[in-house]
Amino acid sequence: MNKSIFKRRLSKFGCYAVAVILIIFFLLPIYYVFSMSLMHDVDTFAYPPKFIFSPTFDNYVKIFNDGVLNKNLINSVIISTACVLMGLLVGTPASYALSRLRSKAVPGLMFFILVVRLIPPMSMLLPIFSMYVKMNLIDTRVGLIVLDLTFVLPLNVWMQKTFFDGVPREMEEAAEIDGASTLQTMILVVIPLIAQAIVATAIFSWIQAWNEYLFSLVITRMNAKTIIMAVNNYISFDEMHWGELAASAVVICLPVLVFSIFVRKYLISGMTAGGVKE
Amino acid sequence: MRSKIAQKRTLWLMLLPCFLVLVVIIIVPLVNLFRYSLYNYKLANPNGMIYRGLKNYQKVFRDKEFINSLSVTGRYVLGVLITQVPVALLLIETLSNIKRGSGLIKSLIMPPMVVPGVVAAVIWRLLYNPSTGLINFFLSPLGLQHAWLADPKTTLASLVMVDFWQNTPFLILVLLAGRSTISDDLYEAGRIDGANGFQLFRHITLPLLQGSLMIGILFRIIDSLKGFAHISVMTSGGPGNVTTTINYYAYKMAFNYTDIGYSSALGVIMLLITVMIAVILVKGFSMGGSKK
Repeated sequence: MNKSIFKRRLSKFGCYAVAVILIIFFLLPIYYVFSMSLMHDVDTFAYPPKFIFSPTFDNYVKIFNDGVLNKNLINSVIISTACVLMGLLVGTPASYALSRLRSKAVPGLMFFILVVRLIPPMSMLLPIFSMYVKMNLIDTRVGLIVLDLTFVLPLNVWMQKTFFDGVPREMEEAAEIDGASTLQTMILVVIPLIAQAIVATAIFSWIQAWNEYLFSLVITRMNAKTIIMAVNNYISFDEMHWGELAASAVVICLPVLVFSIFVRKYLISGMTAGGVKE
Repeated sequence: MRSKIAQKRTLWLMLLPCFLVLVVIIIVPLVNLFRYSLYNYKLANPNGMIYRGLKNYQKVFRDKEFINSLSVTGRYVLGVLITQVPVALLLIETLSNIKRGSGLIKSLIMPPMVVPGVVAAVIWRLLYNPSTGLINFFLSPLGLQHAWLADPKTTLASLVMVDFWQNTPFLILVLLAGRSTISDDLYEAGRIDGANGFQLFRHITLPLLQGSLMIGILFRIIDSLKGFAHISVMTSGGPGNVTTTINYYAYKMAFNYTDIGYSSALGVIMLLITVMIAVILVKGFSMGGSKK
């Protein structure tokens, strides 16, 4: 009897040990780049690697003072926020309608949206790029916003429809008897009930637009460059500015890591377009 | 009754803007993609679109670089699957035993999957650095230092490793979500019948996890097919062409060689491959008797 309790404790201990090893493996690289961002240039390419060093904010001061990063940062904030707003403005009414309409067309429309999630971004980018060349939309924020919407909008519709589906219709029927219009019912009755989930969708869209690299690489030059491109400033020109490279990487990740904490519960269902719920 | 009809009309009107936007930003470009793939269309000369039927496609299948990119992509996706799926399955069997602190554990393994691919690539480029990187530092006592990214023999495997770091958390969380829906009673019953850990896994977890496993594998395949940031930042498809996937090859043909016609044909092929894989996986798994 004692032996089996001991064995169970041991296996429990083993499970936690595996979890700890796993966490170290997944977090160590992030810690590594964070610590490098606080190093003096000499320390960044010291060998053996320095684990104890005198920290400095020089790298952050340098990257924020050269002006380019600030501009990229502003672009990213504008573009990601615009994508979120479009997602809410166009996506929310549509997902509510998809959730409430009893039409045979609805499953077909949802399938279409799921298929869009599967299209390789390169296949979207090639034709849109040549259209942009003709329409003078290269290196514009509008151009990037539209490109980002190709994945943000379908994602919004899919995620929000599942949330609307979870709201019982009785609530709305009561409002309708009181004479509220469909739009009023949606805004005043249904949306407040799933406000948290809608905010999560917005944050998730924001992260996706913020992280987008391929589109930004191809269609931006100077004016519309996003923050995600900032790392290239320190990679291509001078391999030796590792401190600044690391600092820019940290600046890029920081908002994403902070935001992701709020949407953890919705992250998986978002990434699988509603295929998996947690 | 009239209000029901009015309500229905309002709902359709709410749907309309979204689908108009989607048609403009998705359907129109896709139609153009197919159209461009039938033309000799070079960006340097945008007025000179010359219709050439299926010649771009004929060229694709005779193109040694394309055949190479196909094989690179195949090996890359395979590498991603055979490293991530078994490890994730093993890990969820372990992690699902943990009740207290499971939320915290999930939060702590999540960061890699939200970090942008570019940042992951930068981090790993620093880690892989042959002279000062952490990886060679840890391997030096074993005498295994190596120029992981520069040696064509190990470059692709090194990229698979980066993807493992960045995307295994996704697979773990998808499978854990599926695993948490399986009732503990089943395992209790199995244990009473004298099944060992492996038998429980084989006969309870695996069959009941099929739906989540299918979704996890589907998204891992599709996302690694379109993987771009890691390759772009760490190897630019090289050394030589050992890490040039179809996706990266299409990018190079379009934006380094400005051959939109030819790269559109590649884009169409990529789209078809993606759809085919999705259909095969969904069909295959639903024939395997899963409920989803």
